[in-house]
Amino acid sequence: MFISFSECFAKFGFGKTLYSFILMGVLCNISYAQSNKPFTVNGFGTIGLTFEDSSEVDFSRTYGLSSRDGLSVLPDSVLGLQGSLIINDKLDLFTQIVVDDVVSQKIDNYIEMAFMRYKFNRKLSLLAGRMNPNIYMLSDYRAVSHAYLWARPPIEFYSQVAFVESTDGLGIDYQTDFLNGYLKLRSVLGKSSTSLGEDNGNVTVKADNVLTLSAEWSTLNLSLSASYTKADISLSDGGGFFEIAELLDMFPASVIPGKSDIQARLGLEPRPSDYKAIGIKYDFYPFVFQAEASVTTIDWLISGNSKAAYASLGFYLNDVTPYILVSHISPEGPPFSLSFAESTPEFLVPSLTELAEVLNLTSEVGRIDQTTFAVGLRWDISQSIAFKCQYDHIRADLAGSASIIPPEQENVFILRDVNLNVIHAGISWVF
Amino acid sequence: MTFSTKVFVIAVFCLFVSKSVTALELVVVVNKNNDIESLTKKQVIDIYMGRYQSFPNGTPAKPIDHPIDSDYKRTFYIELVNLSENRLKSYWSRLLFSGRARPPLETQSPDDVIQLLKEDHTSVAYLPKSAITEEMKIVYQF
Repeated sequence: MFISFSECFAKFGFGKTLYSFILMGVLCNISYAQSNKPFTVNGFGTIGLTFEDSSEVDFSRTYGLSSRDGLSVLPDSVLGLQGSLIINDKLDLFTQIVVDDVVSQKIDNYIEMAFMRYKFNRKLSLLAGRMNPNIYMLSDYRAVSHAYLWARPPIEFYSQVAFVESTDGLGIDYQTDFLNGYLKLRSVLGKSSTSLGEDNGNVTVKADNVLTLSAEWSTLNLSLSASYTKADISLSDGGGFFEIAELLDMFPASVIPGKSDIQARLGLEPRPSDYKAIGIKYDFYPFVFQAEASVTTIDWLISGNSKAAYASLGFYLNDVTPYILVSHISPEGPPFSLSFAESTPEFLVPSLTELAEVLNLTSEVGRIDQTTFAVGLRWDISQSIAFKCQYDHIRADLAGSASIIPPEQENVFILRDVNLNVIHAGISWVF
Repeated sequence: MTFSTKVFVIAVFCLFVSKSVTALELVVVVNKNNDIESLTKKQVIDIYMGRYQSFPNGTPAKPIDHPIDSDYKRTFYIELVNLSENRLKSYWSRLLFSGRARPPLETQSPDDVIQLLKEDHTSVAYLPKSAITEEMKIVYQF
């Protein structure tokens, strides 16, 4: 059964329709590729063995991935395949599929990028489809372990943008020479949707009206980056948050000041959020230094404002590069606390008190206060294959245990300090 | 060994070393039908490091690389950006897998480089100066 472009557009919207056609276009050209250079297939991967030692919490590399206990090959293993088709000097297509331990098995979750690019001239390009808005320095290649030193990008920092990384929409790239260096600008306008699967109550995190402005200025050994991203974030389906919102409806607005606002902050309605980030990478052989800092503002009960940063120092010893890394995220502002009117009828007080406990706990477990200290080394076995081993000591203060490193037991929140040690050994490659 | 013998040995060694370097004296070349007459080092870096996919005049540029582990490739990138092949591969991983640029076309031998330069006037390559033919023109010399 065939489906027309217009039917597809009506059913799935512009972004998904476009990247589906781009994907088909690229895949249909695989046979063509063997004898023609305009089409190339490349891939990357990591097979890593990860061990975490906590009996209370599990480990996960980022939001949207399954959390794993003890020894597992899944948390850090990734396979990626991409196709690139140059149609002419102005137009090209690019598709990338990344397979990792995602909770939701929807095909849509595996398509990292699929865009069409039109080059107006050597400096200006227009992109349409699914692309990465480039919020942080490693955003558009964070699955490619071979491209950076560590076993994985710092989880406290990079997990923050998991929901706006694959954005369906339009983008503009501009590049130019600037101050004896090279300046890249990218702006993306679109939307994104990330399904978290059954383990997380079939929650889908939706980011609408995503707007990103990112800039990177670089010389041969110095890169400076800055970005600003805004989006309206909401939830669809389940997660338990909608049920809490419904519980609020059982009480009159007169006893809960700002009731509708609280309901909206549980993900019922799109709420504005923004990310601001700066970064630096300085390669002063034999040392390499990299650091980024970000401020996230999100008017949600289930995930509040935060500040995050990391710094890393590596030392090149021929093919081996030992490194150290520190990353941290902490919540901003006081935790939410439900208060109800003094005039609340006596018979409502016990149930309101229970509801307040649920809401306060919901807010508390979304506040991440976590630090990771890591040491490791990268050994370039060949130009395309690297071995990495890394030891992480993660300190989750208070509610940080509820998110990136979730509790082993469902619906059990650990509201105190948790320490976690993670050891990784793996091989990453590109072809 | 007398002092004069030592001086002679060192002189012969220096001559040998300088001849080896001369043998790897690389130049950047394009097809003789290409409009480009010369490039600066920065412009060569722009093309070979994936910053721009075209020459400064806007015509497409297709950079060509020598095989992995070839002396030409190793010398060229050390001279150009002071990067070893391992670090160069890591650099290209970032550009290639973010969809920003493709690395230079990798060939199997210097003969392939010469053949590609002959066939495509948008190609740009590096070769030892001694390998330059009438069908090419030098646009940059280290």
